[in-house]
Amino acid sequence: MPEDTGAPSSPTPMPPGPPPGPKGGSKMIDVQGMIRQASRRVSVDQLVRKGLKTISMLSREKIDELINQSVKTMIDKYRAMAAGVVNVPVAQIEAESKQEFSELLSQYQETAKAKSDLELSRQSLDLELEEMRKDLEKQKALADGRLSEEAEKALIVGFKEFERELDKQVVKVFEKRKMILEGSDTPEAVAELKGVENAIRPIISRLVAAERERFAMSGGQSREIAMLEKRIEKLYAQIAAMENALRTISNSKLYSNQQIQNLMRQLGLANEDKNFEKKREMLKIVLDVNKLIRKESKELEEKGVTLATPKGGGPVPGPAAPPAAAEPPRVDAPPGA
Amino acid sequence: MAPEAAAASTAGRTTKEGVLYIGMDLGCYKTSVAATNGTREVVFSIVGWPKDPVSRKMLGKDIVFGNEAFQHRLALETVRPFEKGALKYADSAEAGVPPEKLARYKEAAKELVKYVVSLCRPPKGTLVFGVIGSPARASILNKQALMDACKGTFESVMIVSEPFAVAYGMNTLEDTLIVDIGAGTTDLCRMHGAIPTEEDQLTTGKAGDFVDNLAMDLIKKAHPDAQFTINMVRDAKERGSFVNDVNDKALVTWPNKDGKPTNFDITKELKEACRAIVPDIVQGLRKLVSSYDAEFQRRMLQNVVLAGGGSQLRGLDRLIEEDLQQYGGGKVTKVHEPVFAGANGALKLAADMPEDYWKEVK
Repeated sequence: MPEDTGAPSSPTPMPPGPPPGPKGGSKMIDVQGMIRQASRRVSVDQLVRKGLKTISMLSREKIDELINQSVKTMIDKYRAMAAGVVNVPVAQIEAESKQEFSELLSQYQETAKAKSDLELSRQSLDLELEEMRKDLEKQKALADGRLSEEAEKALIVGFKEFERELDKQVVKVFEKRKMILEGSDTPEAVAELKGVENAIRPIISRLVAAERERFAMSGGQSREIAMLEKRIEKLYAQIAAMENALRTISNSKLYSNQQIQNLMRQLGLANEDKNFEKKREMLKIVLDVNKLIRKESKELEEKGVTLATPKGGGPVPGPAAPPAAAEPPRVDAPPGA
Repeated sequence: MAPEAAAASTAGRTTKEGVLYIGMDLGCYKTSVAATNGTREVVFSIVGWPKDPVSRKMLGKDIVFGNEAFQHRLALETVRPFEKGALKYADSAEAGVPPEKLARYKEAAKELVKYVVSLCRPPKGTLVFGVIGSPARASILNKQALMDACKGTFESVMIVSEPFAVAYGMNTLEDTLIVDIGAGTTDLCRMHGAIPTEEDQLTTGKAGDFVDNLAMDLIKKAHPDAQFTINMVRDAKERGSFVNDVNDKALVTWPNKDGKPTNFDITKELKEACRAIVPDIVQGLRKLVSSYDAEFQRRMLQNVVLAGGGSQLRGLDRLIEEDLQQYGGGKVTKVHEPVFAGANGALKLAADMPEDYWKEVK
């Protein structure tokens, strides 16, 4: 159910009088029926037209489970109070149920977010792994001499150019020698030179080919392959851990928050700050103090108290400003600021 | 969520793109800044305007800041906007700022903040949120003056006490005593797992500037022939300051009365001046510890942390430890980066602050 359209922002208040009887085993309220009545259907097209690209889903079953869980907790609590149940006002039960529901909902949302984060992380790791697999294949093919088409082409083009250049130089040398010998009127020498040329050129060509092969088999690549293989092993291990964690989170009950926290900690996703809660409270106080500073300094300014005239009586800004205080106001900082 | 992202996530929020968080320690003498884009800078808290068209032409600027202003101070009309606690923790009369010059000080402060933020190079269109450290016992008016200085430069700004920022940055929020020795003030703060209240904080005026002035007087008396300025004394202090009994010598080469460079031994005077801040610190520590819960006093004494530029005085930690012996002993440590401790803590606070909070103090 899209949050923007139909998800309830607060739990449905319990009707006065005896609660409806359980339906379908442990069900305490017909939540599905209530949601059906209270919600309105919106087509996906309409949402897309409104500009909504992502929609958070909260299933009926989950809402049902959350509400039932919260009501059950409350009832258990009051059952434990034994005879005191009749004295508890309905409003209190409603408020506490509402609070319980909100807490459960936020816990569920956090868990759902963690799951989606894990899923995203897993997908990106999969992609990376896939790329590395391809890379490794390529490297292995290079090492085995089974060069991929592109690599082969790049290697051959480079060596072919070198081979052609070398051949050109060899021909040039023989041409020069031939010209010299032709001037000396010894046709046998020219013919012999031709024979030598025909023998030398294939030898050079073979040498270049051997060198090319040696280059392709050079040892630097095997080290790279070993490193890549190690990385892949690590990634496999990480993916396995993540999948395991994901499976546990998926199967876990909402209340086993500690279990989820432990898994998140194992994966390095949990916040390990021991002062996390304290800091959150402190940040709130810092905000309050800063708001107070602004408020108080505004009041002081209206009274004409400034840095230049800390005892008051300074120019009062604006025509409607009240007169300066008779007694010098206290300008000490509020605590904690 | 990748592990790195999880690590960056603090207090329930991750850093958003398009926002630059800045932590700033606007010091009387030096200003340090740290930002989420990795910038860390420290500059002199000084602003200068060219004295005349000649100096304007020489400098090629209408306003000069920080180290450059300090270098060319003779050609400039310089203002140290937070000197002697002006704007920061004292009213104009206390800080010796004539009322007619207060506006100039405020302008200088505003320009300095703008310059320091520009050093962080926020990309165009980026929202800049900042946390600024202020002395522990600054008044509402002083804090407002700091906020005014930040107006127009920051999208939103918050003020926190400097020692608290240091403690937050170090994640030592319980049973710790922070001693932040700056140029203008020494702030002491008792951390007990909650925001420190007025009773948890003390500010004394004996800090770096006090040491410089005292050293200057003592050197004048000991070496009447030497020609020197307060900046030369400060420089000598920064290079060879110590408070413990070691065999180190502080030797300087300053001009004598005839302008001839001469060697002077200022070891004794410097040591005496540096030691002068210790009694107030120890007294402050005693006060904060003795008024703390008796069960936790011992633990607190084991966690005294020195921060700020003044904590770089060699042997200060040991001297305080010696004095704490009469209370059963204590352990004094120094922060790793004395100059950036305040800015780092302020940055951490800024980065941890939920986004909604910034909107509330816009």
